[in-house]
Amino acid sequence: MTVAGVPYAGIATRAVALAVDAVIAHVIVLSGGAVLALVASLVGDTTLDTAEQVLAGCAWAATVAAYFVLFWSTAGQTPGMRLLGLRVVGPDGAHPRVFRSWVRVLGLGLAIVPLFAGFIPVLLDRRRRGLQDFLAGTVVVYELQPEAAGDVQPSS
Amino acid sequence: MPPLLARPRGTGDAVAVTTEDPQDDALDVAIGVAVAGVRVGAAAGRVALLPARVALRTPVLDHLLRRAAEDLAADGRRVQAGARARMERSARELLASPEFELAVDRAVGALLDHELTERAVRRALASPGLERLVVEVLDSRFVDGMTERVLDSPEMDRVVEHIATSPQVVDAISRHTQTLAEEMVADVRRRTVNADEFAERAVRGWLRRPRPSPS
Repeated sequence: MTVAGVPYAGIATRAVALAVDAVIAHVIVLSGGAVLALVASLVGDTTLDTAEQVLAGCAWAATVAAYFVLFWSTAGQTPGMRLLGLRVVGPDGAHPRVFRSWVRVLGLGLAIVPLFAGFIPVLLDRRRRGLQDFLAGTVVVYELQPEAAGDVQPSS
Repeated sequence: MPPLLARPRGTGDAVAVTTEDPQDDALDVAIGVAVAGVRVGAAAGRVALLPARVALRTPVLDHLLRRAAEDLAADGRRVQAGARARMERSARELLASPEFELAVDRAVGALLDHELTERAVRRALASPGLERLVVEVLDSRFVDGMTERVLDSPEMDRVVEHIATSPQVVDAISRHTQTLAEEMVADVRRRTVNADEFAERAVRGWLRRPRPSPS
């Protein structure tokens, strides 16, 4: 599925995939938090002090990051990307390894923090790369185009 | 032959009709003689059998004759039952035979294929009377009541449950659902890809930067 022969995924498709993944990741986080809160309510007080709140925030960020890293490094795509027919590939044309996935998820966070400004390069780059792709050396391609992966040029 | 039985006695017209042919009188006389002879014979027979009837009413003969009659009746019943059993067995064998099935098939096929059957069915279907009858039946309270009873019956529940849990139905529903989901996903993908192109074209248009070749 490419338009005018472009194998790289555009910003709208990637945004929808990211939204789906965000929903799924937060359902996981909230479910886990609810279970923990239930257990905590049985054994004691559920009120969190500042340190515990920071810890909970870190746990939230770690869970969401782990979600992306797990799927990128094992399948090359998250559930949202699979739904939209996208795949992230590294310089060798295969899905990124764990370290590259961690770098990419860090870049994803950096791209989101300034009001998603890190995604603007997707609109301008020849290979439709965002900040996270520049940092991790990856590209996102349309999965349904068999020649797309072969057409991908390794990023420098 | 003239209408002997229809001859109205005591009417002037009948007399005028029947007395004209002398052969009719001869025939009537012959029949009368025959009837009289039969009556005489029957009376003679009764008189001749009178001693025997008197003898049969004696206790000893009566008992013997009654036993003989009962034996004969039992034999008759036995033979009758045997004959009935044989007939039933034969009928069953006949009904179960492939020849009979073939013959019935042929007969039914011939009947259904016959032009008269086709014509009769066509006429029945085209007749307004049948249509009226069907409409009346459908509009009747009988149909409503029957429908209610069928819908409320436990057998209907079983049928619905059987259909709902049958693998074919479940498979068809899941396949239909899967197809629907796939169509929805494909539609979303198509729209987002179009949105990709639109957004990129718009931004490049604002910045006056043409899109380079992807390769």
